[in-house]
Amino acid sequence: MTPGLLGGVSLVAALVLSVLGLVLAVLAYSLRDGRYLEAAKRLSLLTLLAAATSFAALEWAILTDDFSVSYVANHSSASNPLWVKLVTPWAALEGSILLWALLQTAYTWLVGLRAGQSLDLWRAPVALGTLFAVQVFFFAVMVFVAHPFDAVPNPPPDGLGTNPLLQNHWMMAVHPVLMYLGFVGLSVPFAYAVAAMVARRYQSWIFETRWWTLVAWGFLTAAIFTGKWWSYEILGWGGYWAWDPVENASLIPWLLATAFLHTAQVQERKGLFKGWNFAFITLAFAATVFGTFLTRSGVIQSVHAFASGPVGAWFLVFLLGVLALGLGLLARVSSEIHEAGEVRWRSREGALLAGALFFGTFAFVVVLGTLWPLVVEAVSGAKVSVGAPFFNQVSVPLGIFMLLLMGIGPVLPWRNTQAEVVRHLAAMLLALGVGTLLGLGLGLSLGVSLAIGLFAYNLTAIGLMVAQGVRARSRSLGIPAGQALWELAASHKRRFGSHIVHFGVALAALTIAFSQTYRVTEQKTLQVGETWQTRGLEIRLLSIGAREEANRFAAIAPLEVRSTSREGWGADGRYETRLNFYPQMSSPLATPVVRYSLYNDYYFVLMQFDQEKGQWATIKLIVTPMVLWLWVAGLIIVLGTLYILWPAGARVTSRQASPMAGD
Amino acid sequence: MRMKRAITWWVGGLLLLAWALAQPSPNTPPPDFSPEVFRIAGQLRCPVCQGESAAESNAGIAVEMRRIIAEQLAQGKSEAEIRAFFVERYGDWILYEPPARGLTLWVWLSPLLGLGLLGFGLWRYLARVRARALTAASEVSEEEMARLEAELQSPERQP
Repeated sequence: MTPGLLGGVSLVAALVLSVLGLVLAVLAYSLRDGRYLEAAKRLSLLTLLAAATSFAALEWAILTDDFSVSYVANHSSASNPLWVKLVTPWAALEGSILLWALLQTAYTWLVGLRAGQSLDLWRAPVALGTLFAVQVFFFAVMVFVAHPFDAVPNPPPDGLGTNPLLQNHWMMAVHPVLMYLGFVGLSVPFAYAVAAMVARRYQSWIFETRWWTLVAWGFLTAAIFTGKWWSYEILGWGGYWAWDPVENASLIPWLLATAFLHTAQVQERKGLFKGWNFAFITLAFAATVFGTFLTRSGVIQSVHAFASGPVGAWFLVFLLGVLALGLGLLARVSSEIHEAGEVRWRSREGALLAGALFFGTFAFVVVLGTLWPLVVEAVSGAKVSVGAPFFNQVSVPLGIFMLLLMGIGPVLPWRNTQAEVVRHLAAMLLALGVGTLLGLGLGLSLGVSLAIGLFAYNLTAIGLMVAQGVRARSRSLGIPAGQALWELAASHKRRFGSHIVHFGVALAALTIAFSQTYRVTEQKTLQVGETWQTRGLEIRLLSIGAREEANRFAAIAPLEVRSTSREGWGADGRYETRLNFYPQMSSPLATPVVRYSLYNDYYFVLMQFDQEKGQWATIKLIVTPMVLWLWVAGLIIVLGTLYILWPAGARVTSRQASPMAGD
Repeated sequence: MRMKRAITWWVGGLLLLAWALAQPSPNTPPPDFSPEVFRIAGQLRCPVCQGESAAESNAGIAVEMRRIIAEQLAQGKSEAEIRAFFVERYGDWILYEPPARGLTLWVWLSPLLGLGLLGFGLWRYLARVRARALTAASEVSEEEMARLEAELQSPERQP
């Protein structure tokens, strides 16, 4: 048995099993027979095992340098370090689809496990069938167009190697997996929504998918932040977000999923907005496919398009299929969803709807901006670019409105506004004004000052809400405030978790304003021993050397940096800037050296060096404030999500089961 | 085997070094760039890159663009003049910020357009929901009754 054979056979097995699962689910639905459903659920475990075997076979082929397997011959090399080999399965198209499909089978299996308990015989087959259909697509793509295990007739002695950009940082082991976990995770609420529309039960799915949506959202958020961090540490231009089409492709599902998370609460609470929620979740899942289509088809140029190939048309058809299924069903049942009620704008639901409105608009702007160059070229033949300067400008007003709503929303009660709320709002607006004036007084730009004001405003909102709850509890039960806070945090996990997440978002917005406004890039050529005085720093080029490493060759120019004023605080130390030469790359790859401090980041890149005598080196210096806090904000958001998701203890669960009384 | 691999690598490394030394670019240091250069270059597309700006890319043409920007700044040209210089050569495509006219005006209008479309949809939806709440206050429609009955019938076999 060779890994290629094992992988190929288990791929076909996974495809066949997925088709069978789909057939069984259809039978279970049309005959209303639980035995077929049971069989489909068991099949989902078998499919997971087949996919896992296939994935393991790919790892096996890569680890044993089996260059008779095309994927290994094209994307790996015998000299790669162990960790690079371990992550090579998702370094190119075929393998990344395999990882995606593997995760999809895992989610399908988990849904199957829960389907018996929470889903009935009308909906469970539809939900499982939808997920099986998604699996059929991915395995068919691999079996028919992007086969990872194609045999190479005359295996080469060594492979072509892994894309150097992807083996330059250990984030390769983290970010793509998180991204796929998020993308695939959105298929579950989508499948539940399809089931709800087929079975015509429009309300309960929103409770059942709360957990799933939040899991997918948490993974997506973590993936976006780790992606920012990775591109900051690797790409060498000092930024973390370039509004590149591939980055936009990950942002669009996140925006739509965020909109859905908020409108779902209106449906939970008031039974309204059912049709919109179906539309939002369909669009969010479709956006993950759309993103993959963009990255994999080569339709749009991008720095991050590592895995393009012949699968574009397949993904386009799949995208249309997802949209047709979700929106088609919605069109069929929409006349039947009788929603009656009233929404007051000056209440929680009003703020939630307005928030969703902005998230939806933001998604619309990003989609339009990303695709517009294609549209213009198709219509008039002219070439245009829509890039970072555009997106940065339009996201400022949208961001301001969203931050304002984020503060107000949780403060407003579900019912009509009360006097206490007016006092809270006054305090928040005061914080907004004081924060903004403070920023202006410090000589900061208007945008950054406003960001400080909005941060203070959101902080006040969260503080007032927590204080109010704690005061009420400690007074009514006669317990100390600390204990009341502890108990409240344990019993109202959703609410406290959302406070944590909102705090993280407010902090992220503040850091983005600072870092985008005050980033400075400079470049200078230094002779060995020469000192460069700039931005409160004293930079000395120590030497120029070379180093041989397993999979690359490096030119190294160490710098000695001393801070001379407050502006360069925290920069002291030695920086080893380097250019990495990979055999499979025509030009060297600069690896930045970054030092974070509580305020400024110091970021050095070796641009060029004297290749004859080793006497000079060209150094790029980028100083950016507050980037460290952006990573902290990302961590806070993810921890807040985890806090909501963390299974509650028995004592707490019973309390939580009562309607969120303290809200 | 290990020995052989090590030798291969040494040879490979030396070849690489030789190749690096034989780079077509002359071994003269590039000029120094002020923050202003990178700020302007960040708004221009690197014509040969996969979606990178002239500030980010290390491709030859991006380096050359930065050099031209630095030169023109030194000549006292304004940012607008430098941008116009590049637009004249490459067309509007070189600007990452699309001009607010013609077909690309729509991109600038997209936030208002999106907000307007979604807002209108929401407004119509809420008006309908409200009207329904006022008129058909407690009436249960026939199809809802039918559905309720269907749902109350338990399935033949529970899993």
